[in-house]
Amino acid sequence: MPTGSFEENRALGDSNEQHRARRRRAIRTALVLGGVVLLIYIGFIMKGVLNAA
Amino acid sequence: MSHETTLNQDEHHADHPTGLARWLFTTNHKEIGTLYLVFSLVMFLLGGAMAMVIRAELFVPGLQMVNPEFFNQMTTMHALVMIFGAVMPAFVGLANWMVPLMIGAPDMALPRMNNWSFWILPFAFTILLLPLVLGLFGIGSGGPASGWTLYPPLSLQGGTNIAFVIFAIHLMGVSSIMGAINIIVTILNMRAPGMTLLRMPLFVWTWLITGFLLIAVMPVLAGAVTMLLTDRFFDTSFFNAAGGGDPVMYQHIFWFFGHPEVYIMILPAFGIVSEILPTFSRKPLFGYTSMVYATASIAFLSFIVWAHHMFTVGMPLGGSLFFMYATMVIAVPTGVKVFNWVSTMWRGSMTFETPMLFSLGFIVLFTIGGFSGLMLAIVPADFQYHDTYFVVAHFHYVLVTGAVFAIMAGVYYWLPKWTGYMYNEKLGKIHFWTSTISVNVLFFPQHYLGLAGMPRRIPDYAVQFAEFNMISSIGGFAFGLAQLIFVYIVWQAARGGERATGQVWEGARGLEWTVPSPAPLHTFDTPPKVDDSVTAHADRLV
Repeated sequence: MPTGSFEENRALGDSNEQHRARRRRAIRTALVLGGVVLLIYIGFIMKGVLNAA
Repeated sequence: MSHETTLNQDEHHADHPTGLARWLFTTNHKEIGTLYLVFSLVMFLLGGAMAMVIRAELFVPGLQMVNPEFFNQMTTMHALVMIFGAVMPAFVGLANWMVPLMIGAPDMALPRMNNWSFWILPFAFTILLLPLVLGLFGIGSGGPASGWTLYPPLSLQGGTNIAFVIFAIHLMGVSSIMGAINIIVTILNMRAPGMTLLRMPLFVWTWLITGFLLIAVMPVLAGAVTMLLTDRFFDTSFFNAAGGGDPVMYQHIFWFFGHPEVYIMILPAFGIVSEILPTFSRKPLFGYTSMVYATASIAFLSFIVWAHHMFTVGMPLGGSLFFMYATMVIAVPTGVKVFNWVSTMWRGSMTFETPMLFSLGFIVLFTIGGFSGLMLAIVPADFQYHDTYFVVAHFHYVLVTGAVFAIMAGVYYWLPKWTGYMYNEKLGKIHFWTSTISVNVLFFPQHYLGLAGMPRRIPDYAVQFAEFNMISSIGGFAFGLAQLIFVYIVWQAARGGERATGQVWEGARGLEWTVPSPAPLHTFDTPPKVDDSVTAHADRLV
């Protein structure tokens, strides 16, 4: 069953070490982008709070 | 890659589930792409059915088919379904299918999140549509009827259906954000060796930029509707003037999301057309690098033009001038793109298969939408055009003959790669010509209706508008029927027919054409060789 697992999603020609590094990079990028999303969301609500205060 | 690893992968390949489990638990980018595209088609037909109700009611003056409240629900839901259910998921579906293939990646970087991104959508739309469906059976107050922009105070004065809409919008936002993160991370991390950023196909570039747009603006929409929710149910006063809030602030926040959203729906379309034109012109894309910069410029400018949607609320003269000129500046990078597309075709060995026809239709008709956009950008003129059918005509030229035509072009272009079978070319051309003629009969008269003063979102109108409305409705019914041809063509190509080769199109270049048709479930077990010879803009440096 395709699970999107570590092995299955191995990028081309990567050694285990390279693959782990690539995964770490991918997850780090995703977390940073997710953090940006949260900051924007909270920021705009704060704008609303300050406007109504 | 070690031999052991290869064996593990093969074991995974052999153990592929069938039936519902295959689609429910899939983490494969091709299957998830197919899910997105099928979902988008269903939503396109549903939103289209709502449009038919609108055009049927407006066929002649007076109220004949539906009551005004239901008419308003139709205009609201038609927009929400088409924007969030049809156009956006279609582009995400195309990205899921094609981006990994184009950059030589085995799959998306975060496949499990990819599965989740899709499966949130059916739940979101069930919640969105629930009040409308229940309303048809006399339960509750029906669907939202305040327009897709959900402007307060109107949107807060209806029933509790606003809670359903807000929850659905949050879910759609989560889905879009996760999809965007996945696409960005895939492009930045999973490119095959040799696939440098400036070797990436234009479709990948436009999606990379679109991904950043989504991340920047979807939380803005979420923030706006969260505040609507608390205003409606928790006695806050974000947008309530009596409590110290400001309804105009909602409009500012909404359009800070809304205008980049327009480009979220059109930048991937630019990418698709930039893939198709070189193939059927048998020439490299003209001005590849300038296309990348033009796309990035359009994305940047989309953040500083939002108030052109709300000139009539009143703002300082300096603000009006800024937003007017900033809007007009968008014509420059857009002009670069149109110039490059025309130059790509110039002296090319052109043939006119269905994807090329839809791309040409896109260039001509989207440009009409762009020109009417320039007219709307002029502040004093906008005071006349605002909230009239001129605006309706403008954004339908951009979104139907722009975004939808590009999606159609992309589907015809890549369908043989997905199914392994050629579609029926004759029927494809019939679909193109019936769609192109009818869509102009549908929307072009609406320019005149708007200039003559017919307001949008009304179920009845003065008799002076009768002729153009009748013509427009006839075009609408014809356009709706024409799309059934499309459904049949796709269904037929999925079932069988003439076998497609791996290359499919004579002039096609790029990694996606180096794999067999249909593309195997797992592609690129060995690294593809990437150099300028496989990219569609190979001799750009010559």
